[in-house]
Amino acid sequence: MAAKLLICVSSEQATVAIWRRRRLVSCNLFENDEKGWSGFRNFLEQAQGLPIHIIVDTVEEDFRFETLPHVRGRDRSEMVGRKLKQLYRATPYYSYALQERATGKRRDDRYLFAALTNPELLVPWLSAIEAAALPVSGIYPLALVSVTLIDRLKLKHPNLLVITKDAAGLRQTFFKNLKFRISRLTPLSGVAEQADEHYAEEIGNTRMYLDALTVTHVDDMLEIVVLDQNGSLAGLASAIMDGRPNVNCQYFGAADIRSRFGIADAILQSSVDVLHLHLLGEQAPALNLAPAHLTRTYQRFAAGRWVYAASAMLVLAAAIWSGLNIYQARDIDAKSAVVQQQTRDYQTKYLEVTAQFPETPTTAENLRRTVETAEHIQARARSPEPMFEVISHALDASPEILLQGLEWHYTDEPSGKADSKSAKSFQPDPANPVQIGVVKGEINRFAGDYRRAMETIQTFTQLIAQNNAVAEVKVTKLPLDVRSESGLNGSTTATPGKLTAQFEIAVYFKSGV
Amino acid sequence: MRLPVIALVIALVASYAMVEYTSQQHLQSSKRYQNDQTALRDAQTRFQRSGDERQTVLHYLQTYRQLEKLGFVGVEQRLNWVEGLRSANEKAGLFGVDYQIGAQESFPYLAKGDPLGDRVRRSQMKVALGLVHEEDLMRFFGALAAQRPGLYTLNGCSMDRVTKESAPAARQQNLKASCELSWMTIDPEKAAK
Repeated sequence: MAAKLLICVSSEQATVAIWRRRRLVSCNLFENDEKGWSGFRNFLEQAQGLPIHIIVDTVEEDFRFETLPHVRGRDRSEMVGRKLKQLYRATPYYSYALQERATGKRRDDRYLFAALTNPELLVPWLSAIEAAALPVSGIYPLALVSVTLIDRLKLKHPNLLVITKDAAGLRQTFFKNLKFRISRLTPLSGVAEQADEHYAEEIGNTRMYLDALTVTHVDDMLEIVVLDQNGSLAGLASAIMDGRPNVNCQYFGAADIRSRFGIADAILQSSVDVLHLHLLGEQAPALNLAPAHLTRTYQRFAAGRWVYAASAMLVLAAAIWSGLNIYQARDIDAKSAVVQQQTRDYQTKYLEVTAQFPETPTTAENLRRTVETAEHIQARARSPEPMFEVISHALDASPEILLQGLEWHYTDEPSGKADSKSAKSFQPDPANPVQIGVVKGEINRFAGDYRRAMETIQTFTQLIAQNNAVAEVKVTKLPLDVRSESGLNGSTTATPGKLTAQFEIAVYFKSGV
Repeated sequence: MRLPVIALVIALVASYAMVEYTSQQHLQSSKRYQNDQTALRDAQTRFQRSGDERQTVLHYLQTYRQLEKLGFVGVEQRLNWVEGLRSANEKAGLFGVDYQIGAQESFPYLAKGDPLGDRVRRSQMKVALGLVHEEDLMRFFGALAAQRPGLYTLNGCSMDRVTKESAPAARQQNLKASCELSWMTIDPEKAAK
């Protein structure tokens, strides 16, 4: 837990203790005069960076309970704020705490309002704190700081009166059903150190006051807890119970306080305010009298601490993450080393085996691929000879046709090298080239009979198409272009023997031939 | 709040740097491990298949040597090609061969993804020759193949009659033929055994 400065301010003095590692480590007293204020200022110079928590122990305090309609959020803040300003016009040190819901039909809220009615009490001390630029966390009434005693001492009685003797006087704090109800401070000025009878009388007055308020009934058993830090209340328990049948008293001496709260003996003996300073160090009450402008520095201070804490957590998380990364990387590297060694072993074995292979110019894989590639190229190669044979057979059966020229192409182009118009219907697979032939010829001794010439060419193409290797035969050029979309000119008076009847045929072979 | 914010920024930067650096180390180790595992699998497979590899060597080595001798494996043997043309012309009894060889280029007809695809090259050659008869063309290519000057494929041929006579005259060029060939070679890869 972070270090902090705990101050208990009364009209007589200020008791200042340093809280570090969940315990008080020092305690100093400063009188409420010029000398004490000066010493306090000097002390604060040594306490730079510590947040300050202040207990106020004075008779100039006010506690009251108010029942207000049940509202929430901003409405509650505004309603309670108005009530507080109405109650405490003369002091900025006031606050409230919601105690419980009423049991009536309206289920109203019951609030505790508390205030320090004499703000002048804090002026010299807060001036010194402001001058030292130390952050003030909160200002708490001593009576509310003692609420934690109920848990620490495991007190369970419904009518409980806690008696402590502090620097300001005798403090009586009453708890009804374990909830704070009333607190009284009796100043000790003019009272002897051992004044048990006087104190018992004060406690008796308190009992009568409680009965008068009907907080307790006269027949109710009152449990009184006396916390005696310096042994000055040793005879109080017997004095209280003397002649008072409805009272039970528990006494906790210095030894009990040391053992139950873990306060060092030297610290405990240094001031009677130590017990409440210790309780404040452990847990600050929810009800904080400090106005917002006073705690603004602390808010920034606390935010800064959170940022530091977040930074530390961030670095810690990153360090853990990084450590995990490094650990895993090293683990993987170790596995890699094993795998590398296994690889080298296999490579050595492989070299031993392959050393017995015949001498080769390249790897086995390259040998295989090179040979297979050559075989693929050779298997893909074609010769024009099959086409020549097909054309020769057709020519043998067509003596009227005179061959002028031949073309052979082995290509994967859709139209090949043949006439593009005629090849529109022929679409070979681009992955499988095909053979395409072009036959250029003319009708031998043509005398002008175009009809007979056409019939001869038609017969010739049919002879070629009959071959099983041929996929398609197309006449790409005729002696006479009789298509309607083309122009046509000629003369029927042309001299026989001078006329020619030339034609061209494209022959497409089947894929794979 | 300035110091806490500075501390937070420093913590952020330092944390990011730490995590990023070690994450990269972790990532690199993981990648290295994956590569090592792949190498191990390869080495295991290679060793386990060494018997198959021996069979492959015994099966393909002789053919490979023949392809080397043919001139398919290695650099182009253009002199052999020209010598082959001259010899084939003589053996076919033709009237001479004109040739034209283009620059070497890649061979486009291997399957995509073929590991040898970029190592197979071709040079296109155009030849022109006179023929007495159509059959002389195939006799010429038969004679050329017998020379074994290299590995080639025929892309196309054309023949045109020189005269209008239907019957070819003996001992003269009745036909003009021109053909296109592709001479194929492969760049050998010297792989360490």
